[in-house]
Amino acid sequence: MNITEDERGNDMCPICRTDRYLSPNMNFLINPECYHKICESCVDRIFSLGPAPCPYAKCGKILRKNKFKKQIFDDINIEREVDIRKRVSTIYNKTQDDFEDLKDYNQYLENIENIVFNLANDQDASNTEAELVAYEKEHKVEILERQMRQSQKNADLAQYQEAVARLKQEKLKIQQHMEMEDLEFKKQQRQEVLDKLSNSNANSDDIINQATNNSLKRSNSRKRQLQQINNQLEQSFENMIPGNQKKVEEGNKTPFTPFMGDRMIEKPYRMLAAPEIVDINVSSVVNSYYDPFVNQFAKNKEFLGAGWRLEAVYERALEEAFMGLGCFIEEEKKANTT
Amino acid sequence: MTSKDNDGSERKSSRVSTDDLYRRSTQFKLWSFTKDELETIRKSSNEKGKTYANAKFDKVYERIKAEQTDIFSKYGGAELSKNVLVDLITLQEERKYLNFYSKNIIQAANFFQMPTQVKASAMAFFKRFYLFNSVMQYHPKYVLYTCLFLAAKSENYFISINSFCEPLQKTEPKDVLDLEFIVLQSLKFTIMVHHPFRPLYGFFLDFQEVLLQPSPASSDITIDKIGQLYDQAKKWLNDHGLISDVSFFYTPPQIALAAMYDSNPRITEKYLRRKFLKDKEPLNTIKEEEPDGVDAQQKDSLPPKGTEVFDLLVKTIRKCVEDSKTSQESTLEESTKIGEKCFFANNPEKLINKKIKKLKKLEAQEQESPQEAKV
Repeated sequence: MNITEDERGNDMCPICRTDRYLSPNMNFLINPECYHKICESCVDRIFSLGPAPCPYAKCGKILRKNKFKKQIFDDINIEREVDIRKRVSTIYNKTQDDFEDLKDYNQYLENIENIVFNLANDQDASNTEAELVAYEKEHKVEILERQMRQSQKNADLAQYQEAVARLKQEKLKIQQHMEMEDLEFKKQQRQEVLDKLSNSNANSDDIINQATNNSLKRSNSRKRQLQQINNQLEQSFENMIPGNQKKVEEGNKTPFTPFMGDRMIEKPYRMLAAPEIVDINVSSVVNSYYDPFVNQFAKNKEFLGAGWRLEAVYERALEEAFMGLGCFIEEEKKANTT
Repeated sequence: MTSKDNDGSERKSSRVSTDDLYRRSTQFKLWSFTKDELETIRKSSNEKGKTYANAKFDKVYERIKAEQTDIFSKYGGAELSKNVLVDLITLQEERKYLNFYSKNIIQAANFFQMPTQVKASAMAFFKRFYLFNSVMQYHPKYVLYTCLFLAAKSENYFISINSFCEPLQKTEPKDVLDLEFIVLQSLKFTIMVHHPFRPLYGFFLDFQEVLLQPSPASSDITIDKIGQLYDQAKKWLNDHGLISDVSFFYTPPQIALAAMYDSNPRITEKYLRRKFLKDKEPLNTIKEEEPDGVDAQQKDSLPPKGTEVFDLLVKTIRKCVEDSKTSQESTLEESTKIGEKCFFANNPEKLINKKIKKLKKLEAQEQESPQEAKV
């Protein structure tokens, strides 16, 4: 019985008795003050001239037109609870980062749940409401601050999502463009082959083979091109996101000094660059070192792959060449003993 | 002298120079000596070895004396007396004998085709070991192989103990491994050795920078000449640097420079002059390229030091060349003679038994000969 009544209630405005059966475009609105269902035309009719009491019998609450909204949940109780939750969470808007202890944060969440429950189920509602308002008054500045922070975050996220979408679109556009070109090219190719077949007296198989080879080569190079463009796009995309750049800037830049002092900045030697062209036959190298034995390793891919670098060899040798050059053992040890 | 020391401590407080880094190495702290220090250490080790060998001899002597009373009562005063039997190795002999074995290390390392680094480390271990121990305590035959095996491990040139011992005659894995800890202990567990070979290569590079860039310092210095010098110096290090005691007295870069100096004094001196005296005329071109700030700083701190360091360095290098040539040479005969002594010092029982055998033989002959006379 209840269900059928509800269903009928769902389809009929209790104020003007308009039926959905007769006017299928009818929409119902509710007001969070009392959550009574009123059809759109009634709202227009009753509340256009300013605040007015709810037309339901025994309700009598003053409603305003701008507060009316579309019902999302079928169950009015749920709709109400969601609204309450929204309101409470704008006031109690601390995040976990604001707490040092997880326990405190959980306590805070528990508190929010209590308030929502009390308000939604009319348990000690007036007291809770008063508390809520008092809290809001007391912490107004903090709440605003947190709201700003949140909106900043959301804006960042929105920006990011927008950028991702744009990237996707760009990629798709390029791909489509290239596909079109390919299609055109293929047509042209076919025409050429046909012309050749009809005009020249070479072997037809040869001509066809040549053509297929050509198109294969072309498609390969095209693929590479596409990949390249995609990479470029992605790179510029990475640079665009502000969050990524910040991370690089962070981090300690002072070098580690194990001996309670700083390392020598001016070296006792001037290191030349590694030779660019490693050629054993050329014996005069300008602005570099000549050493055919070591330099030939610079060509060895296995060495290079394992992290071997010519510069490191030079640097280590030079470093060791001056390590202890100024230590005169005879004198220093004598000075120590006397 | 004092001014230099002050200078050193000042630098320590602000900037750590590469020289300071070397001063913190165990090679400098534990294994660098003045000549007098080294001499006293060697003397005391020899004394220690002698007392050790004596004690060992006494123990065996008493035992055999108790076992074979008759022969001792007959010859105890003369041929079998302690003074006649014991013939220990002197400091000179010990040095010669060790020198002989040092050459064996090079041979063994070459036989295994080990890198120079391993060879040099093994050499350093061997020399350091016998600085505080005597051949009368540990026979160098086994210590040699232990040092070589240890050096191969510490220099990252792995070779399994079985394949190491296989080609060596009369050497069991146990002989090598038993000594390993003793050797390590004598080395005070410091197995990082700085060799002059890499500094030599560094100088080979720096010679090119100083003498050839941007244009040759003089027309007769070419890359081929420097290459030749490098090869000669490498050979010099292998021939003189490894065996002599220079590694105790000088730092690796000094030894490397000494090797170059002895191979070609002219080029080396030219390099040192340009490097440390800032030989003005040809260097101008390079100096202008450098940023002014650094140059000015160097000028402030260096000028009086440049010549001083140069003189000291050249003096040190010359002394190093001199020292490297005065190693203890020994002939094969001498070595075998010392080797025999060394063997008996390590095994006094065999010494006494040999003597007793000889005496008994002599006795028998004497008993025979009067009979023959009668006939």
